[in-house]
Amino acid sequence: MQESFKTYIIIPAYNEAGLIAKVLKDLFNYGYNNIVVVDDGSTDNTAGIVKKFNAELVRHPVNMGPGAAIKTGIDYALLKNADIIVTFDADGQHLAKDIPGLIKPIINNEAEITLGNRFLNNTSNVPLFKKVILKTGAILMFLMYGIISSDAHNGLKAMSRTTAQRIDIKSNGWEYCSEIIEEVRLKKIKYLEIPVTVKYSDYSIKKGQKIYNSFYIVSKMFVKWIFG
Amino acid sequence: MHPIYIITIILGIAVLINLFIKIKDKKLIINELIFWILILAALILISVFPDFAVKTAHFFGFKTGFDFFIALSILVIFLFLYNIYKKIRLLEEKLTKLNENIAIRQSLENINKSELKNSEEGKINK
Repeated sequence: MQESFKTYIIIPAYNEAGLIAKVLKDLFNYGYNNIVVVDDGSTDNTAGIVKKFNAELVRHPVNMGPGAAIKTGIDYALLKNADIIVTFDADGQHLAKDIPGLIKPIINNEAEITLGNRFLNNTSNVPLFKKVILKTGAILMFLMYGIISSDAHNGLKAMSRTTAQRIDIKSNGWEYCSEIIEEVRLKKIKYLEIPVTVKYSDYSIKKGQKIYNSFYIVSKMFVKWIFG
Repeated sequence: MHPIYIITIILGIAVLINLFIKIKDKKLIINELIFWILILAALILISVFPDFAVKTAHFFGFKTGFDFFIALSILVIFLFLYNIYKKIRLLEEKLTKLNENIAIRQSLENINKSELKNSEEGKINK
């Protein structure tokens, strides 16, 4: 049943030359052939590595941020007639084995968007400081948007074509994750949270969001919440 | 004369000089001209008729004309800030769209080129 749905995997990447090959190998090994890497103006050899694989490469001329890269990836996948779009991180935190679980509810019409949640099982080695930040973010998300999601800032998501067309991402930075949640609530999009594994390594912690960046995201969310 | 009125007069003169320079250099747009004229008028009014400023301040619930001036200034700054925020946001959206369009167009062109190259190679091999 899954084969009849054209699934596109979107990977936003900025200076991910260190791990992008491993991520792509993992996805190809699981049989995902429609992979789009959105190189967000990297200054390292990310694009060169991607070209060695059978993945499609879309390159931003300048670095705009993960939100902008995701938007480009979604628009590209829609142009390529994707039925289901999966967003996947380039830093090796996500596992290809979690994708079937995310797209199954969409195929079965149980959800229009599925959100990966690392707290619904005990398979993720989430560092304590990260746990505190994410849980605080979840509380803020509930207060601002009225949606209960303990892991809104998880980059692993899947959505149907129609949902991808309806969701309007305007934020260029990491706050795009909160924006998706806001869109889900405003447009009454049917969603499900799916347990996924997020693997933390020294590389992903170094590359991932910093504590000070979390404050920046919150401030941007707050300003957007007030001024629109 | 109270020191604050001397400061107000100095500020008024500074605004006036700035206005003259801009008019001379033809760098002034009509909205900006209106804005500066309003500021100048307010400054003249406050310095020439201090009682008027005090009465206006009392009318709005402020103790002194200076308090009223500061509060009004903060309000104007907020309006400016909001305006700048909106403009930056709009520019950012346009830049993102431009970036996206270039990226997608280039990617599709590259795909077309490689497909064309493959088909030509196929023809040669046949």
